[in-house]
Amino acid sequence: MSDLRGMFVDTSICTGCKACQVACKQWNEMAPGVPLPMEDEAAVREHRAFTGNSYDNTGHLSATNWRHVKFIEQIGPDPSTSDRSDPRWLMMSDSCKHCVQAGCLEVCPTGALYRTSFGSVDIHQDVCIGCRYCVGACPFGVIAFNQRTGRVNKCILCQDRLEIGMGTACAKACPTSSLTFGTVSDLQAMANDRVKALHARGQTDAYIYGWDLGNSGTITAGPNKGTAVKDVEVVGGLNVFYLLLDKPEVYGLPAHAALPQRNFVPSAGVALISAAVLGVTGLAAFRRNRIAENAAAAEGGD
Amino acid sequence: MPDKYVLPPEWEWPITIALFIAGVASGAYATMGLIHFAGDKRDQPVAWRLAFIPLPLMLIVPLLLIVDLGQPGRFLNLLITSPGAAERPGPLMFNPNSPMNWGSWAMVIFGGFAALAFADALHHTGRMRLDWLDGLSHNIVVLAIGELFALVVSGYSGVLVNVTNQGVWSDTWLMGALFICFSELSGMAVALLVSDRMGAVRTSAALRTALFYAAAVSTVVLVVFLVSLATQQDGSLAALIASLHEFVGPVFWIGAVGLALLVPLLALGPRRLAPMPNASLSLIALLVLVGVLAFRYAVFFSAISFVQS
Repeated sequence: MSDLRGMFVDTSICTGCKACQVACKQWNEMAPGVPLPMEDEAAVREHRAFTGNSYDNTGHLSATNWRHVKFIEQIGPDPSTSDRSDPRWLMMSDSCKHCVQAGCLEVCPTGALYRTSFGSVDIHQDVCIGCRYCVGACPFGVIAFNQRTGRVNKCILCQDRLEIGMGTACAKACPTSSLTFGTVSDLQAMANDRVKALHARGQTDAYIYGWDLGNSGTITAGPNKGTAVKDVEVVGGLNVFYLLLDKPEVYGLPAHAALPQRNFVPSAGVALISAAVLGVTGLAAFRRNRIAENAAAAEGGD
Repeated sequence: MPDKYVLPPEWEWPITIALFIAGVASGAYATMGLIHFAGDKRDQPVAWRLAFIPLPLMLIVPLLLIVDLGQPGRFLNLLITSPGAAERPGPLMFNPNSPMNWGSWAMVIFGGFAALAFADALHHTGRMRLDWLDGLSHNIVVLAIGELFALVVSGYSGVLVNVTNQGVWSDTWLMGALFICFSELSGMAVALLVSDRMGAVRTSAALRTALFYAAAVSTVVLVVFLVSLATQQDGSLAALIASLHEFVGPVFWIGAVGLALLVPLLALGPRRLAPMPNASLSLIALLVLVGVLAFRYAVFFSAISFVQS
């Protein structure tokens, strides 16, 4: 456990500067836009145009945006009214969570996705066949198909930097320490201390998404004001985990993320039962036909 | 859980066509086995003619699946462990947690059984003399193992979509069962088409009953599927219905439900609600095949359109 590396994302001090996004793009030498075929005008519009509902113009994680700072603009207690009292912006630097139980890794049919010695989930680009099964398996919508290379991409926790003893590029660039790189156990202790410090200051909405460290509180602002929240552990824990100030769904995170394999044995079992029923009904059809034939023959004989 | 957080895998039309063809091939093999198990000598000519079908179809399926890969030249990574891949025991690639891996291997092995059935059909229809097959091709153990792999080919893609986090697809455990049912429907429809064209009245009578029963079982599974979505608290059924919009909706209701299920139920039942002359058997079989194709299309493009919307 002490060797596992990860990141703690403290959204309470994120300013939305996107320095982490820039650092990620720079270190990993990614194109500034989405590498779509330029003739695909609709796709280009979708990915490069102003989103129209936010000051964030990245939109979502993609094959060339391995990190994305989400802007959650709560301009009033009820977005459907013109009430502009008590506005707030929530910011969250999102990326691959390097799940302890990773759905993408579990379903990969070629072994292209693998667990590194640091506990992160990396992709062997020379093994990936571009089947896209991992895309639908990731409960967070992180891993994405790259139309240009025909393979999938996501944050690899700067594996190349880790191997030479460096931390992640995004955490290095973060000016507020909203992103902290370190061992998961140290980060958990840090996160727990941070939640307790915030609670002591009256900000009782802070809790941890990714590990259950026993914290709970109540949301103090925004449309969900008064809602109880508590630490959420998903898919066995997240090596990149978050301090949130509102419900997970507000940040675009599933409250109940699950491993896709939860359905494997039940689905295969039900399929086998249905096959057995079909087999029996098929045999019954031939038997019924034979009985009818014999009855007709007997009648003919009479 | 209709999940708006998950990205669609962007599988394209070759996947739909490939899985339809694989379903027909495996269903035809399963029906051939059924005729061998449950029929008698008078039914054998239909079984031999049916045995010509799975092999050519199983040669097309991998090509369509490979075409849809982002890196088609690397398709062998599904079967042989690449030197750079995550550690696996042995040179063969097999991830037991991945339904796609199960399906890949099942297709390869089923292809062998389809080839055996094809050779057997050549032998028994007098096109090629292969006496060495006599003790092998009708061996009940060989047929049973072949049926097992046909079953995996029929159902693995349904289990595969169950084993994702896509809304609707992963909300029940019934996708594998549905895929097997519709594969069996298509296999029986092909068998009925073959026997009808051969004028095998006796075999056609048994097959039409079998197709009716299969349609009844499939209807029950589909109803259980819809009920299981409706009983979920988070609006899975509403998500499914919402996803059946524009072109996908009519394809599902008219094609999958109307043609693949209602047509055989109404036309082939013991007391037919819509009396049809025997000459219509081929037409019914063709309608069922179109309905099964519609089912594949609706399943793939409903979930994807839901996510994209």
